[in-house]
Amino acid sequence: MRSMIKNKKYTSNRLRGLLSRKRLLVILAVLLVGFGAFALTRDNDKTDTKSPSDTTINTQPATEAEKSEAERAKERIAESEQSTTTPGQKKTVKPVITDTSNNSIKAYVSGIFEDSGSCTATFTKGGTSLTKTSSGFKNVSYTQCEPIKYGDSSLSSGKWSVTIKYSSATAEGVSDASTVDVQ
Amino acid sequence: MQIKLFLALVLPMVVLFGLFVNTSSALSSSEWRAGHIIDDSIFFNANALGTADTQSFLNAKVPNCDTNGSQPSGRAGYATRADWGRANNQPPPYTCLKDYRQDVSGVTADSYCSAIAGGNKSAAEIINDVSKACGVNPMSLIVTLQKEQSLVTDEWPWTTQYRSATGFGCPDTANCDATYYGFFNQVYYAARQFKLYIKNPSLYNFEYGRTGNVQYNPIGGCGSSPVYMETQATAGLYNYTPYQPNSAALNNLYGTGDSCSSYGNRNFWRTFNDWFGSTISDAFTIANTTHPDGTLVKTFGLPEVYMIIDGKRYHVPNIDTFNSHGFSWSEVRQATAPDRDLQINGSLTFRGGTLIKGKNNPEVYVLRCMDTFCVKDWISSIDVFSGLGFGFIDVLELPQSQVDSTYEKKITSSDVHLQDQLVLDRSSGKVYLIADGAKNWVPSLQIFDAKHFKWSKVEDAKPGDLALPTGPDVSFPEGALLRANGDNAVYAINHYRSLNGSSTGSEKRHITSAKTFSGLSYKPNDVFVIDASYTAAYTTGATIAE
Repeated sequence: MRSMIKNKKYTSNRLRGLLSRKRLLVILAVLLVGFGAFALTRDNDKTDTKSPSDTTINTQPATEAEKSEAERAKERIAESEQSTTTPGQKKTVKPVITDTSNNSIKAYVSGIFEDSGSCTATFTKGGTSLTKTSSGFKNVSYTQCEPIKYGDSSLSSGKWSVTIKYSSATAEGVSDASTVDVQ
Repeated sequence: MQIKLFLALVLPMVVLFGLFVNTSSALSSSEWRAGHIIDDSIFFNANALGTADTQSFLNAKVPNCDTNGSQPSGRAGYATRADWGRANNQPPPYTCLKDYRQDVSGVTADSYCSAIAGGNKSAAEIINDVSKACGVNPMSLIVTLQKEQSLVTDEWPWTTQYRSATGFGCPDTANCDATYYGFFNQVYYAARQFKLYIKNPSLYNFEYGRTGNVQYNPIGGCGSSPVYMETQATAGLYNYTPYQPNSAALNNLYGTGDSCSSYGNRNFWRTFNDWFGSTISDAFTIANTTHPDGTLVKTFGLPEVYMIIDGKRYHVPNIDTFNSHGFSWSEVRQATAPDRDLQINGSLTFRGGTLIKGKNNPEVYVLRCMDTFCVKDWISSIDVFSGLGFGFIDVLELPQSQVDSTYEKKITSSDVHLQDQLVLDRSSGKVYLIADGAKNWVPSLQIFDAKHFKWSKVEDAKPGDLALPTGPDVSFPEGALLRANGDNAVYAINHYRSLNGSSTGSEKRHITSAKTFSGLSYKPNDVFVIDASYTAAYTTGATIAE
């Protein structure tokens, strides 16, 4: 008990020493500067965003990495300006099958952007082969094949192999084979 | 002594800065989820920013625009950016996105976006006009501009970057389609495209709630992997740019990967996170099963609400019908892919007991309804009308063309309340539903709530009501979620229906996992907790599982 009182006294003496008038002024100045800086940054945040979700909006200037991405965007443009296409020659494309479930084949063709082509699915099983066709249409930056439906009982049950061939006045090509499981 | 002084000086600073410096840490590739790039509630939130907010944001990203291209080009043989720009047919002056303006001719409304007025508009105005017209978050559009052409952070953008700002109409290895040239066109067609994906989901490669194979790169041989599209916005992003980042691209999140890497969707995700915060707010995975009968469902971004009855969808045709049933928007669930495949079998009608009148005639009718069919009875006098406890505020006024003068019964007495009215027997404290010529006790408050009954509609019972035979107790409606007190198993109530549509029995269907429960967009508060003896009384039907 006694030693505790002693310790208490010791601590308060230390505190008194630490909090001499001079030091108090220094601490006060630091606190004021700190709060001033905080108030300034808070104010900046407010003027910068004002949005309902301003707690998460990053209004810092572009980073060096973001700036260099802008340079890469320009380089891609510069490269594409220099690339040439041979007139009169059909472009070779490779359709991609993305889904064969739900009784339809979904596929697209990158590298071309047109409405005029056709997408032909060739289904094969054993010696049997069957084709179904749909049209291609523009989607953002590539050509989308309209889904090719196969759930009309024209395919017997079992595993079929399917490829998609794209054909238009400007481009042509066949996809890799995919599998269709007909129930 | 000096240490003390140092502590006295530095500690407060450390404390202050520790408190106020932004503590957000860099995004980690482990947070990438291929099937859940962004939530629909974020991607399609058109009100996340206003025009002034967008302008402030663009100003902040590029404090100094290099209008004359006078900074060093960083390319051998070209001293300044302007020199390199000229060599690529892109001479100065360069206009940064924050200063960009364009004469916009305006667009008319279509089924995807509302009309946008013409005029001379800033980039921020264009972004916000398109955002509001098409229902896409301006943040999503800003990030798309950055992902495609880095326009947001560019100090000296080229005209080509504006011309093809969102990459719309620009195939990978060919020239862009001039039809879509121009900053406005690019922003507009990009936003509109995400609405096209919502309205015609089965036409495109990737469909919300389904799995599709997403390639890593346009180059053949780089492979693909199946991705389950957990949100509509994620499916939309893959339809827009059909590639996912490979592990090399993810391992170097702020740089390049390898020859099989692609960056579009990675950069969308990364930039959105870095600039606007997390892309995931209400992380749940949409379930791959249909909702039980009795559930209201709606596809995100489309206005139509459907009620599922007997495994088919019934369109709720207007807000009056919706309100007549006492529905609230919080009980409209996000439609799953299997829900969207359910046949549409007609429209839901008003709730039985709804009072209607034509705009031009004074006659008030009360409806008696099945799910898709109502007959009306004419309340023949004001005395009968008020004697039944009705007020004119309860009467729904419809266009006269919808209310013909045919009726099935003429109601001439208020001695007994009508079909679907609620009455309170003050002597016993019991509330009864008048139905099928009987009084049917509503045995619990939970059933009262689940049936969307309202206390304001409960009338004092008349002697004639109490003299009616007692019918079966009112039970939970179809689609109600129940859990026995002390048991975590959640069940959905299902009613058997005979061919004519009337209920013939009830069963409980177990929702087998918490994942399916949240994937059907149910919340714990949606579940009625009842006595175990009550759940035990139901027979058990098919489980609700994936």
